Amino acid sequence: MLIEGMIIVFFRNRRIKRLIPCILEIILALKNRGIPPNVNIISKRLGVNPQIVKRALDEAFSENLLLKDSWELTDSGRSLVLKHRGKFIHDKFMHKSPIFKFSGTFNNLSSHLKSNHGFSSNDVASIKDSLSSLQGRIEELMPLSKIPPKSKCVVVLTIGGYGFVRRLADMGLTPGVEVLVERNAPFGGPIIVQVRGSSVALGRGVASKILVRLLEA
Amino acid sequence: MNRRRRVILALAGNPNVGKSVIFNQLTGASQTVGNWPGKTVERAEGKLYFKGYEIVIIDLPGTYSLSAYSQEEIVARDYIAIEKPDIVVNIVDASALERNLYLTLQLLEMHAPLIIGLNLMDVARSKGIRIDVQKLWNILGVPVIPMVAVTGHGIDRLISTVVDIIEGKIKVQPLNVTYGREVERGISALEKAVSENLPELASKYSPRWIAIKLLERDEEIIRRVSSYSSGNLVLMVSEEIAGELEKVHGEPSPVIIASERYSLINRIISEVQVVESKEKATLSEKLDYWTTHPISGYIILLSVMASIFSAVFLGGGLIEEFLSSIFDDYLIPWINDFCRSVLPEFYSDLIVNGILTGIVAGITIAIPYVFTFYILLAILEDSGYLPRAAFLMDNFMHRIGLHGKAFIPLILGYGCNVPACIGCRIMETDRERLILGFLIVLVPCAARTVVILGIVGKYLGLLAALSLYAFNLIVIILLGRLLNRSLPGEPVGLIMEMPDYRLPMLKPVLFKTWFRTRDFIYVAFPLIIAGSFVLELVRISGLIWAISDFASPFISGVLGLPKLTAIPLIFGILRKELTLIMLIELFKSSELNLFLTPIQMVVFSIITIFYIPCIATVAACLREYGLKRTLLISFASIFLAFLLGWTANLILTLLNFI
Repeated sequence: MLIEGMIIVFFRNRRIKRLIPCILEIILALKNRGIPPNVNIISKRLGVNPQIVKRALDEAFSENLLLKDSWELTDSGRSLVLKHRGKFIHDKFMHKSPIFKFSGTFNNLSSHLKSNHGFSSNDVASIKDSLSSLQGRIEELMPLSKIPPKSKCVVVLTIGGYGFVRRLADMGLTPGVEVLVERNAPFGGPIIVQVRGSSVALGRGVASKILVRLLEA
Repeated sequence: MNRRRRVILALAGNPNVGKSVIFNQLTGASQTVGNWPGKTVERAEGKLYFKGYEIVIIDLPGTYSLSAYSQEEIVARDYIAIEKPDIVVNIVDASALERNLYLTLQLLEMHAPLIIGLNLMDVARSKGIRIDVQKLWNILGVPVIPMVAVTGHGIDRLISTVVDIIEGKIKVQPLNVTYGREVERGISALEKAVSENLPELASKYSPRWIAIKLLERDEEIIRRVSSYSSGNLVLMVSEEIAGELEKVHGEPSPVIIASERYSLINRIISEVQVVESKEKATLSEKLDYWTTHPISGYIILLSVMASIFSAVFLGGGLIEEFLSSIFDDYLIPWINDFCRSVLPEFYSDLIVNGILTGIVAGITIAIPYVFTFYILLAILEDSGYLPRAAFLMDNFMHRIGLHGKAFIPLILGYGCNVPACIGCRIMETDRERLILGFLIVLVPCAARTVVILGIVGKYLGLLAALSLYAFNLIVIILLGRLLNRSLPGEPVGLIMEMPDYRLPMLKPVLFKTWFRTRDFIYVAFPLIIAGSFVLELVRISGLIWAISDFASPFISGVLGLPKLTAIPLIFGILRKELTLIMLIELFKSSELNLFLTPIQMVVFSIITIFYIPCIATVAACLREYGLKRTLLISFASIFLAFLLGWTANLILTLLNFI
């Protein structure tokens, strides 16, 4: 009985730990839109019981990630968000296998990106810029390569070095632009999108580095 | 005015907006086509006389932007910034105004004396797009001329507007491209640092433009700035400002600037453009659907490639046969007799077998195959099919470290390596071009097919010949992967516009074909002729036997070939099919199986397939890659050929013993 109870508590604590960065992301986004955050809104957006959100918030307050009355993120709160996003991007898009997972701070991740993924320091800086500016939850984003044909989406982030993001911007793919997917073959290969009035073909590798939010059809 | 005034006019614009059609309309036959100095970017120039003006028209390469992404962009912006043409005509696709104005804003930013040629008005109309031209003129502050270039509509008005501007009859007040508050603050701070520390660079480009490019983290400008001793200071300032901007906006600085340009464009567009719902899918859209479809697309691609192949092979072959018969039956015997009657044998051999054979080899390759190929390539280019083929083949080409566009030159290499090498220029970066060049020279062209079929196919069977092809393909794929791993830099993914389909026009296609063929002749002919002259000299002087003796430890010892085969291999440099012809001549018999073992046949064929590209291909490489890389490619291919020949000999001999 006791062991069973300990296991339940252990898993609940782990779940709460995992919720914290997501909650912080939502708070950031809400504050940016000028909406005062509260437990109900957060639990609705996360689809999680308000009780659990409350416990996670208490945890965040006590760990000094979030200031109690102003709901401002502290520096360590911000770096937690950044780390969470970096890890998500890295695990999800850079390693195709689900086995390799990254743990550690964003700084650890930067050196890993440089040594194992061939990014330069400038490139990592560029990725960091994009990640810290993101509005909303990183889990809501999908790579453009996963968007089915005939659906519309909005570009949120482009992941890559300065040269790469500039090239995409030159072709009209900047954050905030609406994109219509024309072709997306199921078995890999490039995709075709409509952007700013012209058709552009993007290799699968390129398309998987463009993170978008799907719009309702 | 009696004296003609000279006006320099540069044509700028996105790719696929009908720029070359307008260029042809303006200049007619008075063009010269070459390369930009030091670059493998085509440079076309032409002249036009109008109202006492001599207007020199420079066709700048088509670009989407003026960043340092490709050689084309650097060529275009350096020309505008440094050569300062009197007028820049920016051709804009009215049916994709949003993306096209991106370049326009950058041209305005460079303070280029601008006129907008708003082309493809008919296409825009068919897509339900209406543009208030006068309003666009007012907003941009420079003349905007609506055009339909294929019918010639708007050309006259464009030219008279150019003259009006030169004579000051039209006042222009170009739009000041401004950014958001923070970006502007950053630009002006950086601008100050640039004009204080880099007066020389600032006199070439404007300080504001350098500042913007630095904030965009433009590699080329950063490189130039850092070449000055005081440049590092400026770079530090720019790094700081860009870092601050990135903190505020939370986006990489190139993206911040691009986004702000686009938001300015969107404000302009909302004023001047109305999109009405269009009635039905255009023909181009239907064609696009079927040619990019995952099933029918490949069927169409296969048939297009098959028809190009047969056209180049059959059409080229027919012309070659016809030309060869003229030379062999009439011209050469006639010149031979004539030379012998006036010159001693030594000199007449040198002239006939050396120089004349070279010329004949040049003409019978260049005219039939290269010309036919160029026509087809021009048609494919102008129709807009090439991007579709690249789209379909992207997945496969990634396996050898390249992207879809590389498919076209590679497949054409099976016809002839020469045009395939020249076709490498469609790749964006030097790295991609080099990898592709390496692979193309290994593709067995028509001449090598003759050798494979004539030796291995004839005596060892078709299956053996086909396995040689398979072996070749495997080597190409492996080498591609190896090069991709070992060369510095990241492989570039595919980012490519899919233009509308258009009917290719006869005149531009013929112009393009003619200029490219002429260009090839200039480069290749001297080399081919010199090469065949030297080889003949070696033959007559008897040096050839010395060489074959010298090479014999290697040829017989290592490769296990008869000593004599060194000679055909040397002559194969001139034309690959000569290896077979000379082999037959040397053995004085076409029954090669009496002189060569099956293993020797395979080894000989492998070496013929892989070693040094023929002299025409070397010439083409020289033109595209320069001396160093051509030598690298040539020697690497020789090394590879002998390595593979040696291994094949070793393995096959071992297998034979067992």
